[in-house]
Amino acid sequence: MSVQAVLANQLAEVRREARRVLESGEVKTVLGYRAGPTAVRAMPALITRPEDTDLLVWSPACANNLGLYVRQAALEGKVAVVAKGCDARSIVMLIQEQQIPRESVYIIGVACPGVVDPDRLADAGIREEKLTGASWDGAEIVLESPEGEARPGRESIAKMACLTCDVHTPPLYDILIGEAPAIEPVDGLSPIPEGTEDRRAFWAKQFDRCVRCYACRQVCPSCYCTVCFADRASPRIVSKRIRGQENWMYHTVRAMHMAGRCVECGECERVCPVGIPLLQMMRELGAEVDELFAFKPGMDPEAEPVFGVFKNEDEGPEP
Amino acid sequence: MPEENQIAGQETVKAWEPRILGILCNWCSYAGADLAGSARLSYPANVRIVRVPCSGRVDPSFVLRGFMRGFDGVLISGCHPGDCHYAKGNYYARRRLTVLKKYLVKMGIPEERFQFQWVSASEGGRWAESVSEMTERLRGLGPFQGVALQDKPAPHREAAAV
Repeated sequence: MSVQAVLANQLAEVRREARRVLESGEVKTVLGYRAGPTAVRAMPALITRPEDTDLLVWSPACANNLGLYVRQAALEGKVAVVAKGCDARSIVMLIQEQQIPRESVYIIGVACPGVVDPDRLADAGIREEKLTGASWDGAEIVLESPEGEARPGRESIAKMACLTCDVHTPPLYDILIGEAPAIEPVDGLSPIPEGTEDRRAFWAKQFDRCVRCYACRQVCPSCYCTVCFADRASPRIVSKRIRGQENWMYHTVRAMHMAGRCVECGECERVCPVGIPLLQMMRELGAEVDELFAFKPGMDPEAEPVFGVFKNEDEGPEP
Repeated sequence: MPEENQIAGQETVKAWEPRILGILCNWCSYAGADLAGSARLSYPANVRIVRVPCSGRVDPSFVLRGFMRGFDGVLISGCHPGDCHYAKGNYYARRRLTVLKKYLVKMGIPEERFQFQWVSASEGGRWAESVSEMTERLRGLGPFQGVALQDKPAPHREAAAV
């Protein structure tokens, strides 16, 4: 069976399941992906009518983390979500933090070997508007165009988060579609220098470029505060001025809010218009939290949020 | 260091002194610092103290803001584990601040610039010592370089100045 046929089968299964849960009235809405402007850009879709489930797509173009919309959608009634590993982790994170009850979501889990980042595609010299389709061959991403198939290499065109990802199969699902091949996370991608002083200079330079569009915040499923500290007039934790030190303040406070909660889907980094390596920062912080408290967010719906509990033997200053 | 204050042929120049932001819990460390005062213990005047109800009140943004504002070091002090006035505030603080400390290093702020400790209301001496130690340590490290590149005037301000 060709790789395209395998993907088509999975898509048919996604559509069938989405239609089934809508028709039976089990869920009110389905969150999934629909075709976007090019073959490597899918868009999030909120579907309420069974006949619209034919609009759903599933391919390496499905980059968005749909966990972002689940809280809102669950207010209207039970919601089914087409969830990759990272989307499912975000949903589990929301359950852990009691933002949604487990019963309010039906997770249509899809095994995901990694999605395409159109910006990286452009960097690799591939014109996305020429492409007619994208699929997977094992872990490899296959691009289709009228000229034929191309395999430019996962490491050069996949979303950065997918290269370091180790959760290709959703940790929680009601039905699982597809099977993820064994993929080793790629190491050594971090642009962050070693050495404390180099790091200070590196981040000063990175945050100086930030335009404070807050896209990183808007796209993040973990950023669900009704009023963000960055928008709050009182207490004013950070000024709205786009200056190096205020930007630094915004990003460091944001990172601390994400510590032990970030599922490392890399959406912040993908949407950043100036390309600040936000995901790498979060990965380093996540590794520290995991090392200190053996906690990886979004894996176990029963686990309690890491900063909401403590142990007597936690690491800390000498008595 | 009075001799450093003198530059030949010039008026007295104020030598650089480290500035420490101290955030102290009301029930133990603040009382401890008070005890150091009433016991007439001498310790460097480099620390500026902010009193909070509990070390659990210390939002990481307080510390980050201290560094943003150019403090050379931040010192957080609370009740010993088990002694919290609110029973467990310092346990939550311990988790959060331990991660913050690791994070500061990742952001390029040496861990020597951030101290997090327990001082009880009876440990005036311990408070005085820790401030002396930290002041000396920061003298050795020198002034903090700041978190940002040199601020440029915003474009519209530049235009207005022309």
